[in-house]
Amino acid sequence: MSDHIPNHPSIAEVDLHAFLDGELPEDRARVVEAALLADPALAERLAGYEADKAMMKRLYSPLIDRPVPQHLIDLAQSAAQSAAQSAAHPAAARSWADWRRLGAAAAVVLLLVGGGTYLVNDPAGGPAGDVVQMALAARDVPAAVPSDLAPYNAALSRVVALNIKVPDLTRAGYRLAGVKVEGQAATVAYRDADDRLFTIYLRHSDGTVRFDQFKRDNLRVCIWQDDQLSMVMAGEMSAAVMQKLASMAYVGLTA
Amino acid sequence: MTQQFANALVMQLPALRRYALALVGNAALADDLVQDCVERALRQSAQLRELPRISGWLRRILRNLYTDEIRRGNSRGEEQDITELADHVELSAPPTDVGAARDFVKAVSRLTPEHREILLLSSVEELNYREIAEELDIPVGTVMSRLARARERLRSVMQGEGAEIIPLPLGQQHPVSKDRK
Repeated sequence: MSDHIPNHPSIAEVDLHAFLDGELPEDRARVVEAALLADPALAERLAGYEADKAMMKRLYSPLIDRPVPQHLIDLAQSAAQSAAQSAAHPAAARSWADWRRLGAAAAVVLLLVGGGTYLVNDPAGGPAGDVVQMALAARDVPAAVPSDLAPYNAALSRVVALNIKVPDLTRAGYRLAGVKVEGQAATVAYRDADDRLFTIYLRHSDGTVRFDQFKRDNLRVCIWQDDQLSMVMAGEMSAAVMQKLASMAYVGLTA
Repeated sequence: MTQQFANALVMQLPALRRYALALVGNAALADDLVQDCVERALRQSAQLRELPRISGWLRRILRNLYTDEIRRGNSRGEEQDITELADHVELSAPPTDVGAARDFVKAVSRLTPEHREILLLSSVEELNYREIAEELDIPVGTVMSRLARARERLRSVMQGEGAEIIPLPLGQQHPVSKDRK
């Protein structure tokens, strides 16, 4: 492969791909755009790469829905069991001690991969229907981000009666946009670079344990509920991005 | 070792199994690699400094195990029985696309593991260049050139499917510019 595209000496081969991936700085992107408009063969080549990228995502992404064999879940869970028995890593145990207050999270995760409900169709009418409705109705959060999150952390902790804080999702490209506390529930709102909204609705759990992920209208919704905490996450995103954000939020509540 | 680490590990299993199957193509080998990966992750959990990075950390372990498999000359690492992968993938394809889906999976299986890996990280795991660079421990520039080469290779394999049976003479109706030196 040559470094530059024939007939377009100012465009490096990698620029075309960076353009496709949305990773080209704007000034360079304009150069590529102009070349694409002027050269149908180049546009066709880009379309081929784009089609392959989309095809791979479309065909391979659903492989995540294959049920996980129980022996693998048991193997992964053995980490926690051995820790409980030996307490061999006191330093690590201390740093994550708060998480233990969230109790039955292991059961939630088992449900996630073992219960076959990891990706289900809209379970309207199911036991979580109510909390999802409330979460989706509460997505309208006034934009306001104070420099000091301590009062928000305190408010969230009070609402769910657990020591938690506002998760930091900047590594995933989502910046905090606002926090709203209404009665016994709180909604934390984030926005990505394209201003797309991602919300985490938090309240005290009704005691049931569940983990579901599904699509409702254009929104992907993830319910994460153990015996103490109920979280409903919602945003316009793929299942993969939701999984990334959900686990980051999960960890970020106590990290 | 903590409950939280165990939870995060379990939560990663569906994505890790997807990555393994897509990377190695062979379902039995993929399952073996995932199991070995989880075992190694349990032993080396102290090396994971930040829990949010667990997905990349696990993929890295899995890739190392796969590389070992190939290096040992174990034919399972190279020969790809993609039947099961193709079956899974076809299930998620619209009926009209089943043939195209099978051709695509076959073409991907002919790429080098290195090329499959970077395509998967970009398309399926949806990592950006910086994240891929961190995960593979290579410069961003290398990510870009490797991705470009992988995509070009995939295109040429896809377009070469017909030519394999009846080689097209030079100047045939599909003048594919490969930009090779």
